[in-house]
Amino acid sequence: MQIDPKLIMIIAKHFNLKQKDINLSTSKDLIEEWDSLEHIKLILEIEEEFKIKFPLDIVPYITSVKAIQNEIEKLKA
Amino acid sequence: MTIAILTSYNSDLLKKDFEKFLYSKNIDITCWWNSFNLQEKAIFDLTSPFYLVKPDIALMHFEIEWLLGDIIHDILKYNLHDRKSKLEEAKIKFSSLVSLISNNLPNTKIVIENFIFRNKTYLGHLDINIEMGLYEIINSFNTFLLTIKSQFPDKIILHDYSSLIENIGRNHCYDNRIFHLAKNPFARSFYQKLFEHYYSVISIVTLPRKKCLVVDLDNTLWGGIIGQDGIDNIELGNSGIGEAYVQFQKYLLNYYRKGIFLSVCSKNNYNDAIEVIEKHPDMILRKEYFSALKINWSDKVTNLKAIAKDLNIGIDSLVFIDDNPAECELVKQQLPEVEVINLTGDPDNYINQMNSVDSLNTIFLTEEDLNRNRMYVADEKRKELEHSYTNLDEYLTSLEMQAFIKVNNPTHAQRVSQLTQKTNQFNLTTKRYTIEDIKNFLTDNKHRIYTLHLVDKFGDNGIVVMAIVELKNDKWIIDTFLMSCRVIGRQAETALLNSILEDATKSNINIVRGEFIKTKKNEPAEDFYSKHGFTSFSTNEWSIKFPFTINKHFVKINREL
Repeated sequence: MQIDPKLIMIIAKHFNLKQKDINLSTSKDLIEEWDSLEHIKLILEIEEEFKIKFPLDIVPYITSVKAIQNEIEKLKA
Repeated sequence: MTIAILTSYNSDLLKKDFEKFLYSKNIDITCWWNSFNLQEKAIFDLTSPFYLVKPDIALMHFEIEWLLGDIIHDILKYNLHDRKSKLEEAKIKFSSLVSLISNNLPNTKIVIENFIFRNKTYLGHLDINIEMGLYEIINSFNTFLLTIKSQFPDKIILHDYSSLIENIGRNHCYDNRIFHLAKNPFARSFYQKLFEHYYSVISIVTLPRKKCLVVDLDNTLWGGIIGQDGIDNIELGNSGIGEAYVQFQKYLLNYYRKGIFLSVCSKNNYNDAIEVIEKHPDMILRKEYFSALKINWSDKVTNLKAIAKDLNIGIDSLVFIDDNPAECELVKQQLPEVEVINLTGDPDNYINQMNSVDSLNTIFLTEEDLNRNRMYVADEKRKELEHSYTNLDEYLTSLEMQAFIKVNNPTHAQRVSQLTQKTNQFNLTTKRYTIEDIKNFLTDNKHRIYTLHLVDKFGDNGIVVMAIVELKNDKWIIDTFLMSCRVIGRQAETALLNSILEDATKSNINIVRGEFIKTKKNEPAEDFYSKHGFTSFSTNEWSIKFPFTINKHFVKINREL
């Protein structure tokens, strides 16, 4: 699975990280600042950038780069 | 300055973005928000940070759900009587919150956002067919806000949030998903509009108001070019594009009604243009609505300067609108103080473009504002008279001026504060005071606030000269002395100064002092003290000793105690 470079950029910028440190296993558990409030903010930024809307039921659960990438692909398909 | 934003929604998601927004506006402002769900505590607990930060503005943005509770979602659960009493309860709760803030933060402006429900009524078409449906409840609540305002008219500003939502549309403003996840109802794409809405009230409270709207003619007030198309072929009428221009003129007329001057600045032959203004059957803005008409071939910069001079206002009090980008650019470069609006696109869109000009937005209407334009028309008549007399004394006598001078009249507080805020030219010290400051002076027994209300044979000028005198044991100090520029040259200032000196004599005061603080604009007041027999005892400080010189003037003084 490839991570969309735009997604890497958004996440890196949001948490003030280096892009090379972002990979599929980057997740809420590994980044201290990624709390539930920041999670919503991040999701909203991703939605804006990709022009998509995640369904309400999955928003709380897509808490890793892999899960987010996966959902983006589903919505874009 | 500090703004406190009290919300019923969870503001955590947008706080940082709002800070960035304010930063981009380049204003020095600190923003305090209540923690989620603690808005009521913040207001009821007088030791809460809300009171400690002493905000200059307290903005209350509550959702109707928070005030009314469950009834919003289940109207029919309650019978008519219960719905009415729920509404009354909510009104009492809300007005007690506002009173608490008002009583405990005497110098804070309270901004109340009016109410709208973020969803459509759940009752569909039934809602407006029953008594006390959701919409009627919300309307009734919004009407009630005016009652609240009437209790603290100087402090409360009602802010039209519901119109913002109506203009953009509920579905674009709210995202119920985010509401369910984070108790923040707003769509992310709406943040910017919301922030601009909040900001508009900050600018209403803090930025100086513009006084004159200067309009171009061709393709601004009508379609086409009068010099080429002629009066019969320009677009102005009751259908199509002509109607859009008529509509725009009707819109502009409302600025005149609110007390803002309208003026024309147009490159045209005077006779061509004035014929349209006076004779075109569909023209709305006739000659009498304009305080100045500059229709000639001079450049717009020269004409704008002339308009400011004619009206005795600063260049920075002008807003200029024109469809021509080159003219707009020229004015922007040469006169950066002028706010320039370049109208673009179809004329039906002009109104929207004007609506975004915050500096023309007023929230208080004083008697003077309502009368000002009428008074300027009378000013023109006075000027005509000036030319027909051979000397100034004769002219001033002919005006039959009467001054009504009052001391410490509390009903004048708003006008007095407004004069200190707005007067730039004939203002000796240019000290700006809020209504609260003035009210303090009125009650502290250490100040006398003098107001002079001038009437002449052409009309009522309102309160146009004003002074604040600080009373010391052995001397009086003139803290503020100012005069509205439209009565410069009428000796009303002499009339007021004489009254102050007479009162000083009666109070056994031997010395009266005053100060002149030079600004870029107050040159007209520079020789005030020297002309009235004061001597300067240090740079810019003046005094006069008993017995005081009483200067001649032509104003009949009426003093009521």
